[in-house]
Amino acid sequence: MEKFPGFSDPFLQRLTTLRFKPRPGIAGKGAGEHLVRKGGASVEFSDFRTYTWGDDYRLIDWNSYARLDRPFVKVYRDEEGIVLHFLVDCSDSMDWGDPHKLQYALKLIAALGYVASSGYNWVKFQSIPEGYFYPERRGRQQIPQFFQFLSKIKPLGKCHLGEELKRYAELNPRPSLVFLLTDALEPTGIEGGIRRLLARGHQLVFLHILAPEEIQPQIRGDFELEDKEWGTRVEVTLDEVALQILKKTVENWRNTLRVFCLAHQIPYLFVLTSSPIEELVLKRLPLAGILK
Amino acid sequence: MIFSKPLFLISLLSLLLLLYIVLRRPRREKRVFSQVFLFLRARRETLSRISRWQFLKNLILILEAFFLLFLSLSASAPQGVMPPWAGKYCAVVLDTSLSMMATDVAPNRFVVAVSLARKKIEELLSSGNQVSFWELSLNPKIIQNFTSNTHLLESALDKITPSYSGTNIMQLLDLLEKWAAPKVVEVYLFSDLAFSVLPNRFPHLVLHQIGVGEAVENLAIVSANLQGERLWLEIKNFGNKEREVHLKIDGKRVENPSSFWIENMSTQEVALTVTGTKPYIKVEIEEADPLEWDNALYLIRPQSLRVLLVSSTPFIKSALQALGMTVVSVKPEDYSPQISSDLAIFEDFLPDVLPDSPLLIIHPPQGNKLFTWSGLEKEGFPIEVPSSLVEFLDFSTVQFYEVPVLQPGAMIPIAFWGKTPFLFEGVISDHRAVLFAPSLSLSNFPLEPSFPVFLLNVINYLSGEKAGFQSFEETRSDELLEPVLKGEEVLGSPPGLYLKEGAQGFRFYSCAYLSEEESNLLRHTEIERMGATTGSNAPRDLMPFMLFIPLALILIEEILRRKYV
Repeated sequence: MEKFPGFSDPFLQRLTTLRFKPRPGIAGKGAGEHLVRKGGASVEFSDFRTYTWGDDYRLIDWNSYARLDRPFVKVYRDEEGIVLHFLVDCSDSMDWGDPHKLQYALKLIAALGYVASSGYNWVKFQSIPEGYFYPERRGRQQIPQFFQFLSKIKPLGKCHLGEELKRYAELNPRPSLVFLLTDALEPTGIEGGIRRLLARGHQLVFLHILAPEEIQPQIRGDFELEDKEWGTRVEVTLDEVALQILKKTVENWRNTLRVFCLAHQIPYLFVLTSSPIEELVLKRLPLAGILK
Repeated sequence: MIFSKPLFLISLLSLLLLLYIVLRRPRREKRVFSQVFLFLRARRETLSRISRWQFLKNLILILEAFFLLFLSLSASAPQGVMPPWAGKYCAVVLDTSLSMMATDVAPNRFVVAVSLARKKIEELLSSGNQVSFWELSLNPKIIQNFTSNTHLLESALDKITPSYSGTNIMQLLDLLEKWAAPKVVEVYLFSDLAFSVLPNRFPHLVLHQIGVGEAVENLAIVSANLQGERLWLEIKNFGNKEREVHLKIDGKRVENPSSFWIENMSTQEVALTVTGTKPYIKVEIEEADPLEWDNALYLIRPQSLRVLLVSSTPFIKSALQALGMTVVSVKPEDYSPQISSDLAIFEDFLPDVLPDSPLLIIHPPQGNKLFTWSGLEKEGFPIEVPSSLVEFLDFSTVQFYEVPVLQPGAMIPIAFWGKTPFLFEGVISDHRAVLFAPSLSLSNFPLEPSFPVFLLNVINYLSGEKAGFQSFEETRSDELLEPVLKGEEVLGSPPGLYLKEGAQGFRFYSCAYLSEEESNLLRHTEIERMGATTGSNAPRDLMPFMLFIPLALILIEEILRRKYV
C-alpha cells in the first residue's frame, strides 16, 4: 500500500522551491523567511525614521545627517515565519466522490504543509467540525509527523460549516493565512463564517473541492436520493432535461460563491478531485498568486 | 344500498389487481449523494417539474382506481338510492300473427305496431312505470319481464319477428293474469284484431287495445277467382257495423247486383259476369274506405298466347305457366325455325335462323351472328336491395334504348344505370324484339314474385299492348299465406308479390305495388328505424368500451414512465 500522501520525490523537490505569498497584514511568528513591514534585522531596507533616544547609533545614516543636519536611522524589514491554518471540512459530505473528496483535500494539505515547512513557516490544522487538531509547528523535522496525522483523519459526521467557521474565528483572533478546504455543501451557506474570519484579519484561501459527479451526475432515472451528511431524502426523476437544470443550478451556486469571494478579495479556486494535485500546486496556485 | 346484480361486485377484486400492480411497480432506487439541497433548489427553480410528474402519476392511479370502482358498482346495478316507486305495472303486447303482415298500412301492420309499441314504451317509462313486453301468437309468451330499462325493452322490440301464425288471446290473458296477480297490470295490446268483450276472469288486467291496420271501419276484397267470364269475389266487412257495398269493374258500376249488405265482421261471396278481352280487369268497392289498398283488385286474364321457349332453365317456363300461357318448350339443340308460335323467347341462346314472330332474347350468348357485347358479366345483375324489386313491377321504370333495326354486324353497347337494367327493343323481320341483356342465372330475379309480372309486361309489349301494368293489393289476413317465392325475410322488406297456389295451379293472387309517394314513405320508415337502432343505442353500447379507459390510462402511464426513466 502506498504510503500517505504518496508524492513522488521530484514533486517533493519541486515543493521545496515554492513559497507562500500572503498579502501584508498577517501576523508572523518567530524568525522566518517572510518579510514583514515592521522593523527588523534583515538586509531588506524599509524606511528612514528620526533618531530617537535609545536608538542604536550604529543605525544612524550619516549621509542624510550630513545633508540635513538631523540624525535619521535606517529601518529594515523583519523576516518572520507565517502561520498557516488549514481548515478542512471533515463532515460526511466530504466523505463522498470518486476520487474521494476528503482524501483529496488531505493530500492537498500535505503538499501545502510540505511547502510551508520548507519555508520555515508554522503549520496548524483544524478539522471542521472539531475532532482533529494539529498545533502550530514548523520545520521539516515535523513533516513526517504531520503526514502521519493527516493519514489518520476520518469523517466526523455532520456540522454547520458556517457556524463552525464563526467559532473558529472567535477562538483564533491572531490574523493568519487560512486555507479553507471544503465542498461548501451547506444548505444555510458559509458566507457568514467567512465574513467572521475576515473580520478577524485572517487571509483566506478558499479551495472549493467537489467531485465530478457532483457537478454533472451521470445517473438517469427515478431515484430516492439521501443526503450523505444530513440523511435528508428527496425523490427525483432525472432525465436529460432535469440534469441540464441541475447542472445549471450547480453552476449558479458556484458562481454565487465565486462572486462572494471576489467581492471579499478571497482567492477562490474550484478544484475537481479528478484534477491532479501536482498540477494544482505547481501551476494553479502560483497562477492564483498564492504560491510563488 | 341494494344491488340487483350483486354478483358483479366480484369485479371489485380488480382493485386488488390494481393494488398488486402498484405494489409490484418498480420502486425508486435509493442512492446516497453528497447533497440534496441543490436537487431541491433545481426542482423549485423549474416550477416543481418533477413534482408535477409525480402528481400526474398519482392522478392516473387515482383515476384508474375510480374507474374500476365505478364500473364495478355500476355493473352491480345499485338500487339503494332509488326513490320509492310510485308507478304502475304495464304489459305491452304485440301481435305477431300472420295477419300483421298485411300491408294495408305502410309498410305493414307489424312494422307499424312495433313503431307504436316503441312510442308507448317510451311514454310509459318516462312516467316511471315498470313495463313488460309480450308476444301474442298461437303460443303467447313473455319477451321481457317488468323493467324500467329502456335498453332491454328496445332490444326486445328490435329482436321480435313475425310468427306467421294465428293468435290465442285467451292464453295470453291467462298468462298475464297469472303473471300480474296480486298486482294490477295495465295491458296495451297492439293488434289488428278487436276484442269487444273481455271475460271477467281477469280481475288483475286492465286492457287497452291499440288497433293496427284497418280492422275497424273497413271493407276489403279478400279473395277472387276468375274463370272465363265468371268472377267470384269474397268481400269482408272488418267493421263493427253493417255496410252496403257497391262494386265497379273497370271503372263502371256493376248493375247486377247493384248493391248488397254485409254484416259486421262477416264475409259475403259475390258472383259476377265480366266481358272484354283486356289482359286484366280491375274490380273495386265503391266508396269503401279511405285506405284503397284492399278496396280494389286486379285480375289477370289467362293468356291464350302460344309461346316458344328455347331455354335450358326452368324459370321462364314456370312464370309463363303461371301467366296461363301455352308454352312450347324446347332445348336449344332441338330448336327449329319451323316451330310455329305467337312469341319466341330465347334464353342464353340465339339461333342463326330466327322465327317469324316477336322475340324476347334474354342474355344471348357471346359471338352470335346478330350482335355482341362486352363488360356485362362483371357487372352482374344489379338488384341490391329488396326495394329495387318494386321498381321492376312498374314497367315504366325500365329504360328502353330504341334501336330501329337489329341486323347482323351491328354493335350495341350495353351498360347499366344504377339498379335498373336496360332493355333493348327493336324490330327484327317486321316483328318487335326485346333484348334483356343480363343473365337470369346471375341473380335471384327469376325467383322473385315480381318476375312473372315483369315477363307479362314484356310479352304484352311484344304483343302490341301498352306497357304500364298495375299491381294488386294483397288481401286480408285470414286469406294470406306465407309467400312461396318471396323468401323468408318479410319484416322490413317492401310489400311484394304474394303468391298462392290456387285451383289453376301457380297463378297470381295478389300483388302490392307502391306508388312513388309510398315508396318514399317506405324508405323514410326504413331510415327512421335504422336511426332508432343505431343512434339511440349508441350511448349504451359505449359501456363495454369504458372498460378500456383504465387500461388505456395504465398504458399511457407506462409509456410516460418509460419516457421519463
